[in-house]
Amino acid sequence: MTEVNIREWIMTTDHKKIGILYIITALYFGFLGGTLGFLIRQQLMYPENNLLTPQIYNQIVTVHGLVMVLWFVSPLAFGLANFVIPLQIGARDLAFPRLNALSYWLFLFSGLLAAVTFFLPGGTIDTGWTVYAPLNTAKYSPQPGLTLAGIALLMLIASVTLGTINFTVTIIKMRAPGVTWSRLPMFTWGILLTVLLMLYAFPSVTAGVILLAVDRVLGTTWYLSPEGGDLLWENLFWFFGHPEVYIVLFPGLFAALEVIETFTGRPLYGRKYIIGAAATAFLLSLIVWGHHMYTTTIPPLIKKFFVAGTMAISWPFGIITILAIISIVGGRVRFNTPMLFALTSIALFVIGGETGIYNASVFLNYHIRGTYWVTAHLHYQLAGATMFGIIAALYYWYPKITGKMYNEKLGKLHWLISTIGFNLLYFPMFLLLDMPRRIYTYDAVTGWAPYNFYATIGSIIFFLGHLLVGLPNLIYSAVKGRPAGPNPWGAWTIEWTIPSPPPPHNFDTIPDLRSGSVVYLNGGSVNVAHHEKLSITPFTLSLGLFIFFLGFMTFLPLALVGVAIFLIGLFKWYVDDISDRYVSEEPEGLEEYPYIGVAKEKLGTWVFLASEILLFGALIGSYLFVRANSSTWPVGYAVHDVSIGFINTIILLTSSLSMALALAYIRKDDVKGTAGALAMTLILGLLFLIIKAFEWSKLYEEGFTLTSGLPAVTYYTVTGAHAAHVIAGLFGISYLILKTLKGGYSSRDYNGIWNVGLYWHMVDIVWVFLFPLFYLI
Amino acid sequence: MNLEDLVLHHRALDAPLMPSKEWWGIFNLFTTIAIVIGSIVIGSLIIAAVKYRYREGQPEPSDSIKPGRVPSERGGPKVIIVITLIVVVALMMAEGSTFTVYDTYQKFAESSMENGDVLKIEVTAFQWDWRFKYPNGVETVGEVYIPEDTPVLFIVTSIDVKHKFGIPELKTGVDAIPDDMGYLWLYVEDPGEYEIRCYELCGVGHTFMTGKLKVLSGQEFVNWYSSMGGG
Repeated sequence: MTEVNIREWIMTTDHKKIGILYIITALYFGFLGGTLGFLIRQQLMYPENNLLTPQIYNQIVTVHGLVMVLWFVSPLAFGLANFVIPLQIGARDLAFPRLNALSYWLFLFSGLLAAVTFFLPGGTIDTGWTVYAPLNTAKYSPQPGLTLAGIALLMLIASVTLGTINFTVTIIKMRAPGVTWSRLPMFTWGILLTVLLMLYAFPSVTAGVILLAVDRVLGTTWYLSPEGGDLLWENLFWFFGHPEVYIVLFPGLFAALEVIETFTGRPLYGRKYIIGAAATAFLLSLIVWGHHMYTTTIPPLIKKFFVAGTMAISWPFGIITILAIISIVGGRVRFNTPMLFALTSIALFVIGGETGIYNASVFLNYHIRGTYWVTAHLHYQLAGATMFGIIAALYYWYPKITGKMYNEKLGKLHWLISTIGFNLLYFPMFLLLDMPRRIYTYDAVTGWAPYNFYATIGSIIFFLGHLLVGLPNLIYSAVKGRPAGPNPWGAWTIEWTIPSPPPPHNFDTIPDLRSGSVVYLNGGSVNVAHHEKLSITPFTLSLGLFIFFLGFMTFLPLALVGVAIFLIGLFKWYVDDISDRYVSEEPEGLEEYPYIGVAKEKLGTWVFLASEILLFGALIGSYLFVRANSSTWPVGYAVHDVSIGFINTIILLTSSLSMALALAYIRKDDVKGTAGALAMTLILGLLFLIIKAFEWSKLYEEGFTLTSGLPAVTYYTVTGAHAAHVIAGLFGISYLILKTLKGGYSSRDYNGIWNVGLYWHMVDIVWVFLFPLFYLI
Repeated sequence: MNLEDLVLHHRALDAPLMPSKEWWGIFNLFTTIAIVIGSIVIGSLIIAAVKYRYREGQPEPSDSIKPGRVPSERGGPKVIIVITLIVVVALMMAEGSTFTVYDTYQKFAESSMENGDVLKIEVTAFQWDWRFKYPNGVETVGEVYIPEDTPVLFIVTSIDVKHKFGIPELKTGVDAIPDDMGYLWLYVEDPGEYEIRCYELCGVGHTFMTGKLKVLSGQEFVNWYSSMGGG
């Protein structure tokens, strides 16, 4: 192994290095979260055990859940995706390498921020990973650690959103010739479905956490009011929470299917139908969130709707499972470690899926909800089906990533220990049908002791199996393993046609799959020089945010340091962008019809706008939710000055016009006109904010304050979120002005103006909805 | 109908309404289906993998995976349709049973509510205990008395955070949500003492947020109730 150059790793924008960073970081968070889970089991090993206090236990239970789902399983899969997907589709990198680095550093620092919360006075978040209202409010959980954990979550969501944009654009736009949708490898399909689902699901929880942060920091009452409260949070949370289950599942499931195809040596049976079934499950997952709310007060008919939806969603998964088994028939199955983990993943998925059907039944759910049955079920899906699939993927691509072969005997031992340990750990929990979740101890008379004891023994086997067999194998073999060669498994996908580990530029020339076989254009000679463009800004920006938020909750001067670092990073990004340092050279022949006309950045902007619109949808939805639950809501024009609102509406609409004008000017290469129109937009945007500030101060004087009830709370939160977007837009516009004056845009290249312009129009359109919703009705 | 008539001269119920019996009925049905299907599916997975394991010198299938070559498609719509039907039928069985019981339960709940022949008890959850209020204003904390063979409606709310009012042995429960009301129907045939537990994490006292449900015979209940000032 060559010497590790730390500077290069911090500044890297190479998808392979970032993938490795993701994998290592996720494994580290997995170790932390796993240790917490291990502690839970030690505490519950015997009845009336006193290893942990309830205060500590609640924190451990909560952070274990959050870390395992959000900072371990998903990022581990995305580490693999980072490394593998550009190789599988024949691309040199992801669509936006620097944003990819930013995703990683935001992920790392958000995790560290979450970890720090343990050491704050009063400890960290202790509400259970579902963070139900109103236990999550400052009234019942005053510790700053909870607020900081929420902020860490928002930082992670920022990372996820960037990743979503990056992977969507990459998979749609960067496929090599001949890599058609029907030829896309299973793992890439899985990641595509995952990111689309992320795009749809995350804005809802983003809104939920923003409202929580506003409640906790500014003292508003979204979650303390009867009109909002528990049901508002539950709807926002589970609207995200159920798709999240599939967000976590899809990468592991599809990796397992790809491994099964390779080690069976025959094509998957009904490959198209598997993808179709997964897409169906994707759509159904959007309408099943209510099955987490059967025991709440939602009406019976709605409950029935969710029962039907939830039962229906097991149907596509049943089909996928059966097709996976038929795929094996007539093959030549090689039982290497990845295959053993993949097959076990399918088997555990059957058990996890079947037990899920119990939960879907309202009547069973009345009792099951909140018991260890649910714990058992969800761990069969997440720690079982998903994790075993991802471990299969880790062993499968290990030779490609490191260039070395892991030790097969140790790998099989790892599988054996994991399978035994897993089932001993989680199966007894199905039998703990009456035991409530998240209790830190129990009486001997309950009869729960033996099952808890077995589960703890299982946890020791499971935990130590990973720690003493799995991990050492991966570390030791990376150094001492025998060279793996380009294609140790005889797999068909493109990544196995290049050396292991792949060269920095991945492909000497672009692979071509149009003939049905991989051939390299130009006979394989190098046609594009590839230099990795190092950048420190993703690290700087993330570090700045980390220090800012940490300071904000602990020691304010530190927050100023954070702001300074962040602004330096932002300025550096500006400078780099204006000089076009990071524009990537496009190799010929990468674009696939019908996407040839859409630039990567444009598509990325559209994906980003979709997530923004969903975020505002969730915020406006929350406003309408509390308003519909209230009987005494004052009509908008009685509180607000309609004329001021109307003037501001006109100002924003005019600024949209001037933005369109800027685009028209640059198409005619009129730089001065462009800069003038942009300056006009900037001034109008500022004017909007000034009028808004005036309007708010007047409302405040009239007693319409953050603590004066929900009409004010909803107004300030939603229009405040909009104002924050206006401010972000002004940063974007001032960047455009600088770049225009430097001659950065012309009639041939005005993507920047087009993208920021589109964002600006979106911000204006949101206001067109907010104005009548708050001022007129 | 006054309370004494309700408790002592209750009408004969035409549907089995003890929640735990219904619950175990569905649970056992689901478990039977799950074990049968699960064994078949996981069994075929193992058998297929072992039967078609790699053997030295075995002829290669015509459509085998080749490095760098896109694999051919296999699997036609006919097989998929058959699989779909099998999965749908299995799900319908489960779904049907759930809906039938749920409907019966709802109808009973609604008709009892209309006829007024039900004992209504208000339950207020708080960190970390339960308060019960009877129609005559009698209040108890931590334990609640109900008569056997009588429909009882618990109207459940909370004054602080979210809890879940659960009676594990009777296999039922409902969320206790502040400023909202959850309904929980009970019809218990066997007198005795049942445990009440909180099933939603509600703070440091969650573990010990337990209570007692005491089911008395009709006469015992009437005696207890009048001794508390009711009737």
